[in-house]
Amino acid sequence: MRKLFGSLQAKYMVIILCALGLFQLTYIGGAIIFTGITNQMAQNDIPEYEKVENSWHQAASDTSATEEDVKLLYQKWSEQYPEAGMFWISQDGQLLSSWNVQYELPQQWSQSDIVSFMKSRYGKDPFTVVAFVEGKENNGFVVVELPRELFRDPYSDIFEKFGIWLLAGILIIVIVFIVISYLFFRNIRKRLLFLQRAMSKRNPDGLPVSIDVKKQDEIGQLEHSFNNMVEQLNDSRQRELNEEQIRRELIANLSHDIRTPLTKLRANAYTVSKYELPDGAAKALQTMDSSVRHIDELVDNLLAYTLLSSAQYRYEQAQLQINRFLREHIAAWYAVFEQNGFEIEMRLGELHVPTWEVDPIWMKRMFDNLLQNVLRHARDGKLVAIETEACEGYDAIRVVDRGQGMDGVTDNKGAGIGLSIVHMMVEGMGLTWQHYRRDEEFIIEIRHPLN
Amino acid sequence: MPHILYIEDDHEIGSWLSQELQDKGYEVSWLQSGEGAEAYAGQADLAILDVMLPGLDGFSIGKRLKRENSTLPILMLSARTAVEDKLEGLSFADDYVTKPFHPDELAARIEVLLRRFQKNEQTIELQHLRIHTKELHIVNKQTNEEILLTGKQFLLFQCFIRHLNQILTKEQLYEQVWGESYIEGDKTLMVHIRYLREKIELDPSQPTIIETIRGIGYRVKL
Repeated sequence: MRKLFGSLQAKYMVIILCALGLFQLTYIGGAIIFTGITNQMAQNDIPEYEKVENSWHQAASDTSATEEDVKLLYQKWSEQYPEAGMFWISQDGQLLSSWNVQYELPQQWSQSDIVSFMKSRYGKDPFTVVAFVEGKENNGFVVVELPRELFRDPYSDIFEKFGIWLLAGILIIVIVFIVISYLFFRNIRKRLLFLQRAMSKRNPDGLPVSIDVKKQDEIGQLEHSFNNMVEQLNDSRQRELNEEQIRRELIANLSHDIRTPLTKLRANAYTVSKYELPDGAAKALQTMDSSVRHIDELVDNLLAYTLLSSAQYRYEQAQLQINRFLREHIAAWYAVFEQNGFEIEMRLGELHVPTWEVDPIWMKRMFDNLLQNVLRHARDGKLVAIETEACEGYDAIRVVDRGQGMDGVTDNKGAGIGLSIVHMMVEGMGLTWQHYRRDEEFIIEIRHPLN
Repeated sequence: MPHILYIEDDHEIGSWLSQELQDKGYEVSWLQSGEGAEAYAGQADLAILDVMLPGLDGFSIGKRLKRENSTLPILMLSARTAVEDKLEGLSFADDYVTKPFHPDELAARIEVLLRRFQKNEQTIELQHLRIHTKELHIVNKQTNEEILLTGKQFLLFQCFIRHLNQILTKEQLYEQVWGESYIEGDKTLMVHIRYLREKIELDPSQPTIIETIRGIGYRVKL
């Protein structure tokens, strides 16, 4: 029951019922007052025009044309209508008698006086009835005048007296209903807006945060449902984090477990290499060392590939000044290329967008793989060049060598995992790449679109 | 003789590297766990730490050592190569080398760190120059005269000596010496390098000590 009355629907129904009830009360109350007043008026015996006219005609017909009878008529009517004024004009226009006439009557009435009197009284106040005495024209006529106030319609009287209050009452009820409805909906709107804002809030993990539920109505139920969803999302995120953590740990441990014996292998090879060895043995040691290095790179690439393909590789976008980054990156690789007899060229031009929104670690990894490829597969060309150029619609970074390109056959050709990582990272950072030949040079071009 | 604190739980790798480092002239204290490492924080000139250790891991030990002695250079030497591990390591350590490493590369990195932290009294013979790295005292061996540098020249040369054999870009040099961001086209660095060359090079028009690496930066190669 409490739940029912806690609902917004029930609350609004209560408001509607109250409003309807008040309207009904107003009308019923109005009707009661109206009826009471009408009854009171009715008790006061309010005359009607037609009845008065008929009864005056009747009374005049029943009265003989003597002064006493006419006076009796006056008295009788003045008892019933104390406000009534009456007078009698003979056939020749002489005023024979009068009763309670508040103005001065002419003693002699000409025909035109009579006509103008009749004309002036028609439809006007006082209500005037003219009737022949005994019903005969030669007995003259008697006139009765009654103020029209006596005939006043009780309804209009009531309306005049109480109508304004009745209207004001209805108006007040309507206004109160509108105000209450407005406040009710404003409250709902406010809560919905608050809910919408609260739903848009995110915690540092990018998940929505729970809402404090204050009421148990429909919005409160919505808030509860939202909180349940947040809880489920948090659980799911926590599970995902745990799985991610387990996967990372597994990969890290796997990497560790492979690298530790590789370190021992390298250590032993290094120790042996310090002894005087026949040429064949020294060469075998060198091969062993480069194989260790190769396995190391392969493991590294394999783990990076696994993480990248399952979207677990950490990505943090930052502002990177491309030309500066390339100079610093090549500076770190310079000694290796120099040692291998490479000519190193920097052909850096101005870019449309000198600073890119990318992950610097991804960029390093990408260029490490590309330069590693040059070192391994384009050793004979003895050239590595880095170019940057602002082209139409995009900025380009080019890694140039004089190798055989991707279709070339080298002793060190692998499964292409290094380039697969480059491909995934290029796509992951919203860049594109392609490779082509330019005369003797093989070029890998990374493009940064302008929009 | 620089003193190196080396923590490695793998007996085979630990004993081999300790021996290698001793052969290269370092005094080595090798521990197989982090227990008791803090006692060396004050005496060691450099610490080499593995990450996966019994008990406290290398990151926690490194952070403790750095808290104890902020001037102790720390080099993480680990088979953990994940970006997250490197980032965590480099949040307090000064270098991060992954296994399998080449002992010569490790020795070079140790040298760089010792020079950067001025931990070893070393005299470098660089062509006609004899340089005492700790106080950066430069002597022309041919004339036996000391070469005096101005403030900025001194800082610039110190930067090269601390990063021997490494190429430093214009931006890196400018930011390390002037402590401000480099603005493309600024000639200040070039002017100072010219003055420095005039003081230390035998033929400043054909510099052999401070090499210009075209399109990248400068290098002082031993």
